[in-house]
Amino acid sequence: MSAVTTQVPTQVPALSVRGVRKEFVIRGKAGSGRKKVVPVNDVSFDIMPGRTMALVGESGSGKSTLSRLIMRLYRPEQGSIAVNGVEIQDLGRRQLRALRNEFQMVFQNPLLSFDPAMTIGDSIAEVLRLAGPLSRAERVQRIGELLTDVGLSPAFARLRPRGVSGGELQRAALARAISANPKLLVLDEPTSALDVSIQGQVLALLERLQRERGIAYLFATHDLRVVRMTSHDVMVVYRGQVMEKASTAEIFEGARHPYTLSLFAAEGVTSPDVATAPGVDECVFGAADCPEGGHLVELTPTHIVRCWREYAGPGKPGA
Amino acid sequence: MVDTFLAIEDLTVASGPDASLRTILAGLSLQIEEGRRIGLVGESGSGKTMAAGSIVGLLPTGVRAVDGSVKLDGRELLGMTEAQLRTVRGREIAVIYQNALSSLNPVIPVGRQIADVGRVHLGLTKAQAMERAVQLMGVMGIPDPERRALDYPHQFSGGMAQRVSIAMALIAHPRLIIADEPTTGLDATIQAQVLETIAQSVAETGAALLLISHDLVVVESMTDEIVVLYAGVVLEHGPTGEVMADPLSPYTRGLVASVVQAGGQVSYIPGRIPEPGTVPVNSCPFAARCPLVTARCREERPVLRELRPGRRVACHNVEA
Repeated sequence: MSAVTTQVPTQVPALSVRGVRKEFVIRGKAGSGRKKVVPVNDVSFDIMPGRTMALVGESGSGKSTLSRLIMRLYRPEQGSIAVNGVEIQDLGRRQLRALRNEFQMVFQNPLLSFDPAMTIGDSIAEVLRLAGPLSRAERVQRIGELLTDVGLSPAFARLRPRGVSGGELQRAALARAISANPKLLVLDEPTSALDVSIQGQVLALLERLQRERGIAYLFATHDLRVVRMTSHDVMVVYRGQVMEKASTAEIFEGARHPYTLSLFAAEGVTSPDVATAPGVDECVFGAADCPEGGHLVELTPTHIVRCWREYAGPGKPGA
Repeated sequence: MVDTFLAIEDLTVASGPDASLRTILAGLSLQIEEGRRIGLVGESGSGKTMAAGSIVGLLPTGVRAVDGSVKLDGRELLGMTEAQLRTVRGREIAVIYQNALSSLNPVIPVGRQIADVGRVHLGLTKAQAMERAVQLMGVMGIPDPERRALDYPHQFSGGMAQRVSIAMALIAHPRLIIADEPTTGLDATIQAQVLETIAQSVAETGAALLLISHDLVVVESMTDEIVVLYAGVVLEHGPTGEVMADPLSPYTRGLVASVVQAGGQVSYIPGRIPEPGTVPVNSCPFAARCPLVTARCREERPVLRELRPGRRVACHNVEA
């Protein structure tokens, strides 16, 4: 977020996602049989260390499925996911556990992501253990340092989740997530359950932690104000497909895809109804006579956008 | 001159036994004129939902209005019996709640739920009420309203269910619509559509709107004046455009700064929101987090004063 740093070409991405596809088969209404849904459809992107990629889309766009694939809570049907250069989808339990400290997730509602019966300190200790063995005294001291680092008093370790405010608990969730020195944090709407005057505190904390520790963030959000404040790059997803991907400046100054534009204006374009939407591999914005999936068009080396034939407005590729 | 039809004077809401009252809302005064759109802005625990609850006599158990008055055309609403309130609620004042799916009855088709309001308050026949309900659903942008009127709430998406509850609020032509966080939890594009529907309905029916929200951006786009609540106390009250462009209270300034960024900087208000009822009565509720705080702020609660024409603020440390 500060000065532009020159990317060393040999640097390994903190997260590299290549051609990932995840399908679920769901039972539809009576008589309509089974239906295939593809919440993540041929998605590729990299996040370099110390960078933030915003993942923007509405509910049902596949944000959560993608986050879960990266955490290896699901396995993809196709494609590969590498954290710090290590492919994670074929790792065994033991190998995955050895790598768990490198990627952690922070959820939207901290009250639901903490065990209500455990003290905050014990919850942090569970993740801290992933970083390596510590004596009891060392552990207590480390938890105190982590809580101090996120702006809380070490005394929070003895409290239970119900006893603290939402903003404080989300800070504790961050302390827990960074306790094992991760290289990558997957943040799923980490501020949207918080009060407005508290959201900024958590965002400022995220920014400082990234600056000090070089952590890469995948930041799932639907709040464009938050995107602008926090992210280097933006990926807009709709029904499992990448619609547009660009640097934050490019997206805010020159978004091209009608879906991105509709999110910005939040009016005009209506989201296609799921019931009448085309099949899974067809372009979600395309006309009925456009059977093939829309292709990604590269506008600049950092700005790609999915083609749309029906859109006749300004900025259409080739227009 | 437009008439004030709803006058809230010094409304104080509290919970707990009389000996140790916890004040949730301290002395709210607000005049609502015909067709006026007012935004009540506050974070959790600010008392904004309790303000709405006192107007329509729907406060949670243990919470009650302990002082002040709420008058509709000169009739006192506080202390009205349930039967008297029922002639006001839904008829003169309608409420749209945050989660439409949980405010609708899950076992009754939506068309009948809308129509019932029309039958009770307007004395329409069953057929007339249903016809009106279907027509309103269409106006609300629900496709195929005749068929959809027979569907149950769970068959609607969040945005569509919210349109159903707007139709229900509108059927008896209320003079005031209270919308309590009507779009929280909806997706951005759906949110815009629902706000648009509310804005149009208010414009077309001439009803006044009390929009309760934590989101300044939503309130900015929808209202003529803003009331900023913090820990049960009104800190600022003025015309929406002026408050957003030049907020007077340090709290409003912090809120506006945290939604309108300059140069991608993260702006925020340090500290935490006080629990309801924990602010000392002689202190400014925002004192603990205020960048302009002085000793006086902790000894004397600032009163809401008119700093400039139409611009009221409760703060010792801002000058005209």
